This record gives sequence, C-alpha cells and structure tokens, in this order.
Amino acid sequence: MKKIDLHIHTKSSCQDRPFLFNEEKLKHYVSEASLDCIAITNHNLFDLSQFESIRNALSILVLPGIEVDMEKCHILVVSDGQVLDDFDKRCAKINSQWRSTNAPLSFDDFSNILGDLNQYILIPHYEKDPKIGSEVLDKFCGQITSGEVRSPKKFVSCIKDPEKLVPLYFSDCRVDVNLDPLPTRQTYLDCDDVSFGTLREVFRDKNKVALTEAEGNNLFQVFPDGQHLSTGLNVVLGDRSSGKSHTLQRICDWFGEDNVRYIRQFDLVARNEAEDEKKFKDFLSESTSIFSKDYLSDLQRVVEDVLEVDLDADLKSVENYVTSLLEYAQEITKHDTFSKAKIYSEDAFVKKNLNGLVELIESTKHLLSNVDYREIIDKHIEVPALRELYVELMKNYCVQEEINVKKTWVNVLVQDVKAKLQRKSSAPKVSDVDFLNVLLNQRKVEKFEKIVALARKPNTPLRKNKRGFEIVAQVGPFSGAGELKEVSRSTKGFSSAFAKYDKPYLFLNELRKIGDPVSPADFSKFLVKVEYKILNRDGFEASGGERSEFFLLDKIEGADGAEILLIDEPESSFDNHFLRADVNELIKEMSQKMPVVIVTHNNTVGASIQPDYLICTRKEISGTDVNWRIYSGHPTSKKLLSTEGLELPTRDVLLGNLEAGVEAYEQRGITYENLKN
Amino acid sequence: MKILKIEAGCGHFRKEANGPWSQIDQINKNDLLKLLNLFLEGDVEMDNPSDHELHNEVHKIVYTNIFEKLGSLSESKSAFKDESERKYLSEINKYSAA
Repeated sequence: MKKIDLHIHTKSSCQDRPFLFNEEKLKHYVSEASLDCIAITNHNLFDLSQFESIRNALSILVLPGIEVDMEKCHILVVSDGQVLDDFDKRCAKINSQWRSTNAPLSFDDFSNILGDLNQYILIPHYEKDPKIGSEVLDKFCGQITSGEVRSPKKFVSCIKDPEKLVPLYFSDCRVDVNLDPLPTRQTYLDCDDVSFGTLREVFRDKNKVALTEAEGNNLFQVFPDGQHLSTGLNVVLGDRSSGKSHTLQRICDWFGEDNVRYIRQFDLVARNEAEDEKKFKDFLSESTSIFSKDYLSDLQRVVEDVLEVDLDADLKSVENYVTSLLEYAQEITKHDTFSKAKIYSEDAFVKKNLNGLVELIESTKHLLSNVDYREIIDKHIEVPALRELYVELMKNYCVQEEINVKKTWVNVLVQDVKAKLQRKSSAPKVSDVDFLNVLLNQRKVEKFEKIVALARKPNTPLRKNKRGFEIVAQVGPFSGAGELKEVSRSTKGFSSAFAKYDKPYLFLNELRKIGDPVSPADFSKFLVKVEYKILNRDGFEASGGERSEFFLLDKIEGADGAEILLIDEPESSFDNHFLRADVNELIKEMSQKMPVVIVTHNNTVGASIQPDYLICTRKEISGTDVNWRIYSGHPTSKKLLSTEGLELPTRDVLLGNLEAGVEAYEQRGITYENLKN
Repeated sequence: MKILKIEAGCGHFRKEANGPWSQIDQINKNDLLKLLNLFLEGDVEMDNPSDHELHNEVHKIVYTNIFEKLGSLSESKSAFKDESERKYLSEINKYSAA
C-alpha cells in the first residue's frame, strides 16, 4: 500500500489566511505520515522555483499542481512534472486571469489555457465545498474519474455508491511552522509503486483506494499518533476521569465543531419543569416551523392585503359625498355660471379592471405552451382554435386598455377644469368617491373574516409519526391575552387587542397599535393558534421523561447532515429498556451511514449494541508521571492495543467497565442463577 | 327590480330589494352603500331623469348625480362581480379543506 496527499498548500493566496511556508515542517509531515507521494496545489498559482526546491528536498514523488477556481468549484490539476516550463506558463495565465477578473474560470477558458486535459490528473472538490456540479462534470466527458471528499463518511458513501466517482481524501493543509497537529487526512493506494501513470490507473478503481493501510475503509486515522476510529460504530470505555470526554472532545475538534453532532452528557435531561416545557415548545416550533409557516402562509397573504384596507376612511369618503351632494343641491341660490357648467359636478370615469382578462390571457398562454399535458389539451381543444382565442383576447385587451388610457386622460382634464371652476364659484363642491373600491374593500374584509374563522376551526392538520411518538399540530383560537403575549415573546400587553379577537379586522388594527416586536409580517401567528404536541404510544401527551427520550432519538436521527455522531453517556439520562429497545437500534442504523462514537459505562449500550470498534481510555500513573492512554481494537480481538504497542485484555476492559469488574459480574451471575432456581 | 324611481316630480330610492321607498334628499352614507350593493348584485332598473320631470330642484340635483354615478359603474358590474367572487378563493378553499 502507498500513502498519498495530493492537496498541499505552500503559498498563501487571497483565498487563504496569510501563512509562511516552512520546508522543514513539510519534510517532518512527509516523514511522520510516511507519505509516498505529494502534490503541491496552491490556489490559482504555481511557483516553479519553490516547487523545484521542494522536489529536491524530498526523496518521495512530488508532483506539480494547481488548485483552480473553475465554474463555482475548485479543481486540482496535477501534472506529471515532465515539462515544467510549459505547466508553469499555463499556470501563469490562470494566475493572471484570476488576478484581473477575480472570478472563476469558465470551462472553456480552463480547457483553452491548460490545453489537452488528458495530460493531467484532474481532481475536483466532489463531496467537499465548493463542489463540482453534475453539469460541469459532464463537460469533462469522462476525463475526471476521481473526486476529493471532505470526510471518512463521504469517502465510504462514495465507495458504496456505484454512481459516484472514486473518492480521494487529502489534507488540504497550509504548511507553515504552526502546522500542529500534523494532518491525518490521506489516501492509501493499493499499488506497488507510485508514479504519475500508476495514480491515473488507481484513480479509476474504487477497490484500489482506502482510508487505512490494513483495514480498508473500516477504520480511519483520527490522531497523528496513528490512533484509528471505525467508520461505523465505536464504543469508548474507561473509568471515571480516564479521559473519555476529553477524547470525545479531541475527536470533535478533529472534525470541526460544525461538522459534528455532539450529544453531551445530561444534555437532554429535564432539570427544571418550566424551562423544560419552554425548551420543548421551542424545539417543536423550530422543527415544525415549516408546517406552521405553510399553514399560515395564505392567511398571512390575505392579512397583508387587508392591512391596506381602511374601512373608516372608505365610510368617510361616502359620507363626504352624500353630505356635499345634499348641500350642493340645497344651496341653489349659491349656484352661479361656474357651478352650472356640466363639468363642475362631473365625476371621474371609472377605469375598467382588466385583471380578469389578463389572467384569462395567461391561462390561454399556458394551454398553448404546455408540453407535459400537450396530448390531453390537444384532445379537447385544437391548437389553431387556442391561437385564435389568444389573439382575440389580446386584441380585446388592447382595445380596453386604450379606453382606460383615454379615460385617464379625460379624468385628469376634468379634474383640472373642475378645480378651476370650483375656485371661481361660491357653490358648494361635491366630493368624489370611488364606490367600487369602497365596496371591494368591504368584500375583502368579509372574506378575510370568513378565512380567519375557517383557519381557527379546531383541527389537527398535521400528524407525523416518529419512532413510536406522534407529533401533532393542533390549530384553533387563542383563549386569552396571555397566550398572545407568549407568541410575541415580549412584555407587551395584549388585553385590548384580545378584546377585539372575535372581530379579526378590528383585531388587526389593535395589533398594529402594539407595534414592535409585533410585526405585520407575523400577524397571522396572532390570529390563529398553532400548537404542537408529542403523543406517546398510548396516544397521551408525552411525559417529561418521554420527551427527553424523544429529544435523544430526534438528535440522533438529525445527525444525518453531520460527518460524525458523538454521544456521551446516554445512560446518565435514560433507562435501560429505552436504551436497548430504541436507542441501540437507531445508533446501529446511523453507524451504517456515518462514524458514531459513544461513551458509556452501561452494558446495555456498550455490549449489546455490538460495536465495530472498542476504545478504552486509561489514566496510568507511574511514579510521578501521569499518562492518559488510549487502547483500541475490534471487540472480537483478545487484546486492545495502544499506538505505542501496549496491550490490554479485551475481556478485562469489558467486564471492568460494563459489569463493575469480574468479581461483581460473577457474583451477579450466581445471584441470578439462585433466583432462577 | 327598481331601485331609483321618479314619482310625482320627486326622486325616490330603496335600501333593500322590494323594501319601502324613501325620498332621495333623505339619503345618507349607509343608505347609499346599500343602494350600491343592490345595484352591483342584481339586475336593476332606474328611472332616467331625462324621461321624467323632477320638479324639486334639490331632488333633481341629487337624483341626477346618483343616477349618473351608478350609471358609470354599469360596465364595471361584471368585472366587479368576477373580482369579488374570485377574491381569496384559493385561501378559502385551503382552510375549508384543512
């Protein structure tokens, strides 16, 4: 087996933090990691003289390369290093284009600058950001056979999926004097010697790449001292204060906190009833917020429309019209030549609302252009008829629109003349009113109130089963101002608003008066109560303990997006029955998809879960020296080994940590046997 | 159904279908909204002031003004009906089905 790392940075670029390359550090890394081949791949640049210096300083194969920004992804271009001047010139062009545009190369520019792409090994970011899209990948027409991944989980998933490229796992490190700890992300290749040609061959075959030298993809190296973890299920055992949680934290740091789902000890236990209740409600609203948003979205749209309506102002405009008309009619004596002109009391034209026609035209257009259901449409309506309909509707629209434009012109003129006549006349003026708008606003409010009543009707529109629990969303009306306050998460008072709760339009106006943080964008949340509950297997609301169980299962299940799942002593919070029946099953399931590390003292978890790998942490004191050591191995091996080659019998570790020691285990066996007899 | 009529030289209006008649100079804003609803919701008849004489000057001005105002809405009647019927239809359906 050969070990390679083809993604190493030795020059700082604008996409990196500033760093100063240290050749000694690189030599140290190559030697400590026992690498057989590396490639120097800086961002959009290649430094020929630095490369030659590195190549001369190392006795392994060092390949020249460059990491290019291309079409929203990064791609490693590795050359065989035979004609360095040519590669250098091409990289200089890439660098100059990058410097002038500061934008990724297009695929065409990329291939024009680099020439025949078959002369390189091309390794795009694949299961790693910024990753190559399938459309861009297709443009390479099979020239790319392997891709870089960001984690052992992604590596294993690419190996398992026949559609995926050959995965490669590299350090992507910046080699400066502070490179500590040394990278542990490399790929093993099943080949006898390493050359550019061998790499190209190996990168076509998933059976020839691995995360470890001897264990294929069952393990991966996690610490620089050579400590491995399983890509499946790892159980960490150890006495109190032997470094279990510390080891878990180191693993977390190795992956980076953002990539880890870490369920810490006692994380999920209820300590305070009120706090627990709140946490639970927050959790539910968060995890079901999509439902809530979806349920209230239409209502919110109507709310926003209705907020534009001012019924009081509408009524006032009608009142002004009637009063002024009556006054105008009664004050005949004040009528003069100005007021007697027809245009004095002329109303503005009402423009025709063409919304319906516009929608009709759009619908006809859909019928004409639809591809999916072409056959059905054609069966019932012939295309020429549809075209004629479309044209006629459009013509009609043009005519009506023209009339509307003319009416607008006349209205402006009438308004202008009216204003001048009214200024000269002593007769009262008749106020204008837009009757249609007034009435339409009334209809809007009536319908809005109907919608609110429907949305408030007690109902359970969501029922979702999850691991034996049922999440339900219940909708209905709020029962008091306190509940509204809770929704607002503020100290604002809602009593006067709630007094109008049964009259939604007036209620909206009251909400508006409350102001920040009760924003119009959230008014629908105050109109209808959406409440979430978790029901247990018997259909009753889950108890505190059951909720914690649900949380645990949800947290484990939600680890899908993470690179690793870490669980610290779940037995501290849950009973054995639950752990065996539900948690073990789910953890096993997750470990098929990603590395899982679980710290435990509990034999229900530790032994019956049947881990793939055992890790035992020990605090060993010799004289005044304290050593924290890690022993590990497969549960079927008789011995667990430390990276220095020290041994511990597996049976002693299991009995000591899971059964309170050999003596207690045997004593318990006798007790059970006696009880049976 | 008739909603505006001229009788004995005076203008009259109705607040509801087949309801009693009131003198046009007694109309207020609420009456006017009711009249508007009647006008937009059904087929209605209105006496044209050019065909009937209105002796009372006040009646003449108020009646003619309202008659013309409602008349100007005639061509918008169907568009209004369409729009108000379609208004929030999908939202109503969503919450009715929920």
